[in-house]
Amino acid sequence: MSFLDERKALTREKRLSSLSHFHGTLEGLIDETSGAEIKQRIRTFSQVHVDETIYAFDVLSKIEDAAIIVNGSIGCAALGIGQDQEKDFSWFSTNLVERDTILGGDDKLREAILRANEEKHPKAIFIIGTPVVAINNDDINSVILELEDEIGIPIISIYTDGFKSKTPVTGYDIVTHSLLKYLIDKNVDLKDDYINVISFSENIEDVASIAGILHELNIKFQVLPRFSNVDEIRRASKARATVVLNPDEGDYLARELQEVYGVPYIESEAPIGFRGTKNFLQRLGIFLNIEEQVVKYIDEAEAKISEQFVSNILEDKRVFVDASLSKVYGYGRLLTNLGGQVVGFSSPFVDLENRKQLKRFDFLNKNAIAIIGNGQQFEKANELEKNGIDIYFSENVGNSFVTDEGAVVVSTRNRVTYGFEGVDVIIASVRRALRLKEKGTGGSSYKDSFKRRSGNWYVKQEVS
Amino acid sequence: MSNVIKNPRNGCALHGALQTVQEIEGAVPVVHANAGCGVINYLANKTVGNGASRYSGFATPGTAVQERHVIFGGASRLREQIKNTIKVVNGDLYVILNSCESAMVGDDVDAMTREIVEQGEPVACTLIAGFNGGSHYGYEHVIYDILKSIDGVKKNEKSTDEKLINIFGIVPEKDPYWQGNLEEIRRIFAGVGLKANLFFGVYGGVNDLVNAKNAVASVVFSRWGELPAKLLKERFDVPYISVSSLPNLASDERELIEKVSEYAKIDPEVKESFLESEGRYERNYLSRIRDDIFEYDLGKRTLIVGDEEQVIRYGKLFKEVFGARVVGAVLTDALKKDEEHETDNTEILEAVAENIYITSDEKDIEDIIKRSRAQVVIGSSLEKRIAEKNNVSLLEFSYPIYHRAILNQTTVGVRGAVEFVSDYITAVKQAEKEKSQVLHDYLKQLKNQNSWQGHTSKKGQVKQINLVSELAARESI
Repeated sequence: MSFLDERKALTREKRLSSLSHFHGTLEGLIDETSGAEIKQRIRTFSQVHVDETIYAFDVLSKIEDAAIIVNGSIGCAALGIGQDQEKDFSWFSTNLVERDTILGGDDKLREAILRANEEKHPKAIFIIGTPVVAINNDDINSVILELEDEIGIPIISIYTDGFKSKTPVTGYDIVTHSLLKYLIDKNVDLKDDYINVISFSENIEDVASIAGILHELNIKFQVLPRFSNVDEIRRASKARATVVLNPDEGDYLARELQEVYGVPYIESEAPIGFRGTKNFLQRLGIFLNIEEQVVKYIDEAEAKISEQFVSNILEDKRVFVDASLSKVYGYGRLLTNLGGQVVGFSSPFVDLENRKQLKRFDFLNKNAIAIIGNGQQFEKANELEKNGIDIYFSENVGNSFVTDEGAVVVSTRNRVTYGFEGVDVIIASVRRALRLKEKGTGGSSYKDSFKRRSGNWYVKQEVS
Repeated sequence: MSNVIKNPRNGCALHGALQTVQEIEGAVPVVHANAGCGVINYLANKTVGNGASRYSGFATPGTAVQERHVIFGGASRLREQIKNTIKVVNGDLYVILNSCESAMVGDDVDAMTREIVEQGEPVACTLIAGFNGGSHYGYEHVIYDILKSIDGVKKNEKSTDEKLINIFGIVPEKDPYWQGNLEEIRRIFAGVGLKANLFFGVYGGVNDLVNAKNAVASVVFSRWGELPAKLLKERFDVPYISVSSLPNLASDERELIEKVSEYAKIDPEVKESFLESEGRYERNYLSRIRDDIFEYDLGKRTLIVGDEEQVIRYGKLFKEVFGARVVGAVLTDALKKDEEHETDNTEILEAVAENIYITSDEKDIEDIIKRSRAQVVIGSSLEKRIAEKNNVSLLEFSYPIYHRAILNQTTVGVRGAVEFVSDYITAVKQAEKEKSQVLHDYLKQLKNQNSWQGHTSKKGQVKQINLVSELAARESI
């Protein structure tokens, strides 16, 4: 069923009943998510975390010939500073002040659109919504209607507001919804011979790693929406097929492309670790009828990796994995193959689509720690020392709290972890991290009395 | 009326308040806003390379308000958040920070804070919202609000310390060198037997806030510290001195110490001995670079983009050391209409720079740089593209500075001045070396050509060489 008829994208909570808090065991989590709907929970203590506005800005900022307007107060536009972009990146803020919260910010939005068009000559303009605009209920659409014909390019409202969802990937869904509705070419009579590779959050190293493999296999591809341009996004509906690098994030776009434009979705797991990458490529090979070529490529890669693979570097080490649920499987399996004991995991959310993944966590004991929380470092700190965790494997930024709790971090940031290349890089990172073990700074940010308590005392069930 | 801004750099009042509280050892910020407000500032500052303090980023407690709190009010959510923050997070002082949402909805943050303070917990709050101003405004107001209420939260008797000086006006994070600069100010005051009450960084902490009323005087190093200094004057009779910028040369240090000595007891012999030593340090290093000044023609046409305080400091330094013409100054923190401060640096600015502009809009800044015909721009990484496009050398010294780790480096005092000068000369020398290499290659190509036609086409490839070469700009000196 397509969701494109909706004016705005539904939040993950509404579409897939996503849960943003759980603290217990794997068995408990499987049980909790087994019904038709997942019960929501509320924290009475929380830490700040990314929201859908941040995710939407992040992915849109990587579309090279688009302009971005952050429609809100000046602080919301500090998102652009955080991008640390290449020299041609620029963005606009409507710079709403107190007066605009009373009288409305339409004039400023109009000015911002005209300036963005004049100064950047973009192929599309995206307007990112923020809390101030959402609360004020500014009429963005009338400004768009007024100016779209005048400037002759799509002006697309991204309906983010920062407070309607606890699941920041809703930001990717909102972007997806807008791209499908307003940008992607509706004329799909002719299919071309490339595939869409969907990427929302991957770093350039990971995308380049997968792109390199596709190139070696002579598979034509385009990456989108990250690291793309407006024309490539338009052409998404003419692709031969779609693959997704992280199903948690790209599944929505791939399914809608299949449903609405008939672009087949080659479902697979994230190309992480040897087996993950192998499965990803095999599915692609079957669909494209190049199985032999793919098998040959995989065999060669396997031979290379086998030469260096040491299966016991994590022997006697207790490991915790902090990653998107669709990647926990790949990372966890690889770390187990390196001799580690994965004793728990945390992920920012779990939704109905994740249920089948949870059942595949065969490398975990049913009593393994399961934490669902976007950020919320205190919940992880609660478990680290208690469970004698040695290695904290994380794809998130800002993990220094881990060293305070006596573990050491293996980060996936600023390095490749996808593809066969990623296997070597992860092994090297693990080796480096082990050298830092026992060098923690100490001095926890959290009270001992808190760490002795259960991780659930501050949580309420949502009253519906 | 404020306008649309391209590439805004300074964040909002909440960001300023948040990064200020985060840098006070022992203070825990509690953000009453939607989930992402506190994160945006972290992601921005993370690119600058100052590292992260304990309660920054995802470690920051926050109410992460949801739609229901926007509709029905978020005061009760805030109440439970404060109560549980005290139970979960170690801290000596908890500071509640307001936001755009909370201000628009009308949550009574003050009442929630008072309620918990009455239970004897160390909690303060600030009511400024993001849209009230930029991060410099947030810095000033949160310090003001904490000092206003800390006496009721952490009791101590007033007992003036004749050696203690409060330091205001150095904005954490927004001055990329804030930590090193605070440490340098501490060194200068220690040199004449005084103690600097820094509030932030290695030597700062919650106790500095408690002790602020016991200082013999406050020194305000930019307009952004005037409010808390005034408060201490009104409430506790702590006098304050406003100076337009942090000291750079030995003469600046002398001027500062002379002013402070009107309030604090300084042994004249210690003072003279220290200042003489500072002068000797400066003379020694600056005399070593005299040849470079002439041989590399360092007194170039210069334009400065940054906070008002930085513009004054760097401008004076470039004029006095290199004889540079400061053809323009772009103030990125100043307000077009400032009704809150008495500080007026117009005359000083006019003495430093030939033209003064107030803007942080990238398009305005690009136009200004283009018109100025500057050879050197002292600015931020956001000016990199403009510098390249206009063949201008860029010295990155104001916020934000990408791809450089800045921990304890300083640009203040004679040591900071020497560091700044050496960075500039290094950059110029590297650019000259690259220019020279390009010319060598050009000459080689000319010698290997068989026909003049070939000369012409090859010459086209290296025609970009000029006084400040394109390559130099590319290296973003």
